Amino acid sequence: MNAFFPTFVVLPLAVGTFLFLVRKNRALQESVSLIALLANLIFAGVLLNATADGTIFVHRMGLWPFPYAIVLAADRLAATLLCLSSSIVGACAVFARSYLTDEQRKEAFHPLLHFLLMGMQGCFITGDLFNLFVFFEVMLISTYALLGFYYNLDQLEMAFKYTCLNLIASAFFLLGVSLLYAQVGTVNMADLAVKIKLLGPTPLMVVTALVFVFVFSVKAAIFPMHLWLPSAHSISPTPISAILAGVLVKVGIYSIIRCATLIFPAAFLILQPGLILLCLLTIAMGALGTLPQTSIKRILAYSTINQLGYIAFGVALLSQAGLAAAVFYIVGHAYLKSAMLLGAGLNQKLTGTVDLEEMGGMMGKAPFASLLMLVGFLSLAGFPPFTGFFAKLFVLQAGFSQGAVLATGIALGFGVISLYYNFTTYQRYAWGTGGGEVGAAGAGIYGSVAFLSAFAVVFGLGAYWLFEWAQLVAAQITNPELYIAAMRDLG
Amino acid sequence: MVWILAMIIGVLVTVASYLIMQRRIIQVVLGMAVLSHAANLMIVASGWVGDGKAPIVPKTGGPLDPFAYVDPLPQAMVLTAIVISLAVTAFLLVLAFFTYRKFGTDDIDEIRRLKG
Repeated sequence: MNAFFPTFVVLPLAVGTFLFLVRKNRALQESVSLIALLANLIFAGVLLNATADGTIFVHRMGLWPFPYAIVLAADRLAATLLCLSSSIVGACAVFARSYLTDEQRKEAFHPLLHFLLMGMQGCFITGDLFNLFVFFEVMLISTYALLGFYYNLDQLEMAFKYTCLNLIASAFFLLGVSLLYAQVGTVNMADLAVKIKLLGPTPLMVVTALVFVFVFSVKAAIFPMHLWLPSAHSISPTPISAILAGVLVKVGIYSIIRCATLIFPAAFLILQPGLILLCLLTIAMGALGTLPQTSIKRILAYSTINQLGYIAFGVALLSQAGLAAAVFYIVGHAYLKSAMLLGAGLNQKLTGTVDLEEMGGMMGKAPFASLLMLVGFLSLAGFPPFTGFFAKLFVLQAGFSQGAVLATGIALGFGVISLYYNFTTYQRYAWGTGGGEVGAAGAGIYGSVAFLSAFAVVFGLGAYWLFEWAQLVAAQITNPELYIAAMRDLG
Repeated sequence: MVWILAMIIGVLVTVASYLIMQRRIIQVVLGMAVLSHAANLMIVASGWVGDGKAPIVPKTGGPLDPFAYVDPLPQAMVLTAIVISLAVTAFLLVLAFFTYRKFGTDDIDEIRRLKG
């Protein structure tokens, strides 16, 4: 297994290159792409199964000894996120197959999708901070291209802004790496953890941690770096915005989790009050931002910010219960939000618009589509027995049991707003009289939306099992000695 | 000697911040390029040790003073960072070019006005 799991980087790279070479043969390109995504998902499932007993797999590239080798490592958290990313990207590729019309279909779409997947999977399995930077850039440069996909005015402007913002964040990432290197002289995450613990939380180390919080909060859309998200997620083509909202923002959260549990646990304890404040502001900004919107995609984008605030709140509690709740929330929200964005695309296919003012009465006109949306909105609003309810429950429970009563109370209070906006959105969408004729959508579209929505129900009814797994994940990541030992033993 | 490097990084960041806040897209792109150079120099500076001798071990052998040489690892890392910033700058230039071709101007205020 140790030698096998660099596949997660090598396979998308090889397939992406191949797909670019056969770009003239569209049928071949699509089928190879889908088969490769399926293979990727199977590998991820095998890895998830193999990490279940707590093994941490480590691969040293070039077989250099610890801590000189660039290492790839997969623990339960990484394996969970690998399964998540490959299944969501797979569903989005199936959706795109029947969603994009012939002139919308660009030959670069599938190659870029695989390069994006390579970057994301690389981020999840790397055990080296500089390597994380490299995979971040691989991931981002594919996103830049996918965002400005049709060269129309909105997309060009948005892609330019997004690229500039992330370029500044990348410069800060390099700044953070160089600050760390100047202090401890290593970039291997396990080695960093050991040496930073010896050094203690010096003021410079706390500043370094803050730099990393800034860098990752740009990706994870934590206040005040959340402003790019609504336009990026609503203007980009639907299959891409589903990947962005489902998986890409989770890469930022994942990196924050790694920093908080493995690299700078002591510095994060000092930063904790500030982080909790930022999370609450993120929750507030997301919830309030939905109220004046009329585009269903923009509402979903603001609701992503809102939910990311809850996830980050779980992480910022810096306890095993908080992290378990955050992992549960990540999995639940990833499937839910990509299902809903694809659902918005389905409705765009049916009605030709994403504007709620021009929709209405969908319950009568397209019952199955609006049933799928109902599951999504109920889950987002936090209704039992869907995932959204249990995710919020676990986060709030972790907060209250830790004595962070005021902060958790505020987070709970904003849950009411999320209840309100989800209901009014669904009301405007499903009931009423407005709206014109409804067209038809392909089976691939319905299938992928239903597949992703099913997780909202499955993880809701089976919340017990998912939460048990999340607790196993949290138990492993709150004990960084395990990770360090796994890397050291091989070296 | 490292203070010269520190001052250069400071000047580069100042220039980059000034350029990024300009109204023309091409100036923003140049500002981004300068900013990534500042970040790259920062990495080079993080490996600075003692009086900064080049990390080449002489053939003559004999005992070596490890604190006399610069750490070569950040210099290897900075190569990767330079290549990445090259790629992203090239991409930004393409975006800027497409925007210019669509709008006929690269002034951000003008573009906002044209978009309505």
